[in-house]
Amino acid sequence: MKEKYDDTFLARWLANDLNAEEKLRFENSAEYKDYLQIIESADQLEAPSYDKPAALKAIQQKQENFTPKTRKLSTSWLYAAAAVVLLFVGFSYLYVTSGQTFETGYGNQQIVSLPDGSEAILNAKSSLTFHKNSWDDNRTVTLDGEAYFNVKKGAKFTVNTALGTVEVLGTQFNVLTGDAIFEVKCHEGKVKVVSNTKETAILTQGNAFSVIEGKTASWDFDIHNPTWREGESNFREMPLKHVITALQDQYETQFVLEDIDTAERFTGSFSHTNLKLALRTVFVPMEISYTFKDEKIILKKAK
Amino acid sequence: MTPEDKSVCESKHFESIFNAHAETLRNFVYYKCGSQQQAEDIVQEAFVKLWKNCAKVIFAKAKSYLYTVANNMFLNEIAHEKVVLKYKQQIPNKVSNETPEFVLQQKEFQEKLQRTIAELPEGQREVFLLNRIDKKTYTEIAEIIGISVKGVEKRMHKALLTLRKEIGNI
Repeated sequence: MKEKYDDTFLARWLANDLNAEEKLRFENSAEYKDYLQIIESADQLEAPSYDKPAALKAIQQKQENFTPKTRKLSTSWLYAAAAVVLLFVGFSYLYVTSGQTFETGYGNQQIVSLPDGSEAILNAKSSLTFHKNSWDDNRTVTLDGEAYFNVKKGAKFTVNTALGTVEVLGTQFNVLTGDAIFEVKCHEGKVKVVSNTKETAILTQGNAFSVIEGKTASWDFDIHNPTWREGESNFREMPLKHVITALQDQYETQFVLEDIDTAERFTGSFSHTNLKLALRTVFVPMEISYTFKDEKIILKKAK
Repeated sequence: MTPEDKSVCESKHFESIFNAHAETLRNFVYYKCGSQQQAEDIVQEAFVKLWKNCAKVIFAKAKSYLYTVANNMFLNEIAHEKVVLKYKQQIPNKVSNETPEFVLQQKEFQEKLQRTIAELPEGQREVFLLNRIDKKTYTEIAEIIGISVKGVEKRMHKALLTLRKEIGNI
């Protein structure tokens, strides 16, 4: 009987989908009665009973746990989607145009890895901005504060600051900027400094250059001396005003200045780890007294 | 309001989906796994999942969503039992004319049919029972299982061949 029917014949018979000839032939066949009996018997079968109301209730109980959330989402998701798209567009615009900015807080240092593997170590309260997308054509960073750069050899690398720019090809150097202060120290290689006052200097290892309150100075320093990266800030003929700012940046303290001359120059260093020691090393030689009051430090002329 | 516009998140629409599909869905899973408890748990989970995703599932697609979810849940369960079905209560006067012998024969036949159905391959069993018990057309079954109508007809044909072959030795 295998070849007697095609592979959907019985299904079509059940669905009343046979033509008259097929039907007649089948109904006269020996097996017809068997199938009829199977179907008649099968049609008396029923599935186990199903308590629908109880099942619905169980589901509704589970729904209550998260109903409010779901309802809100369904009504406002369009707005949310629009907001996300706008934010995304906005951020990507900012990202493309203003680049990435890294900022350090009080007493912090941060190593910033630049796209080509060069590094910038940021001193406290400093910020560094660079454009990741155009980095391959233009190795330029913008600095506010102080940073030590370790530049991989390659195309021109430029540090822009408010008071001048530093250009190098691949070297290590330190740039300090501040209120009317611009200082560059070359630790390795060759550095070209152009100040806003149109002064240009080529520095090699151990050379330093600064423009402080309009006055240009060049000097040599010992590259083996500890620097701020090792926890000690060094100054050479630095206006006291900036030294106090540097203390604030490292220790997050507030100073109250009473009748002291902040234009006086300070040469020396202070430690980043011990405030009392730092205060003593800066202010004792300057003949300034310091007292703690209400979490502030009051500076007065020593008598 | 066209069916596409109805939100599944609205309770009345959700309930109408439940009333339309819960029972067949339960039977569909039951024909596969043979455990009433398991089938009802799966149906409950499927509807809870539909509710959680009500914002994402459009009304017209809710049915196929439920069947897909339930089928996946079934596939994740390991234990399968034999499908046991009940016979409807016979209408008394219909059997009264029959001889006791015939009644006994009938009973034997039914038991054999039961066992054979339970031993059918899962694909054939679900098609056969959805058609005979739930009175679903081949087109509806094809939609539920996600195969072609021709495929459903082939399974149906095969199921009948197997049933006759097994019961024929009575």
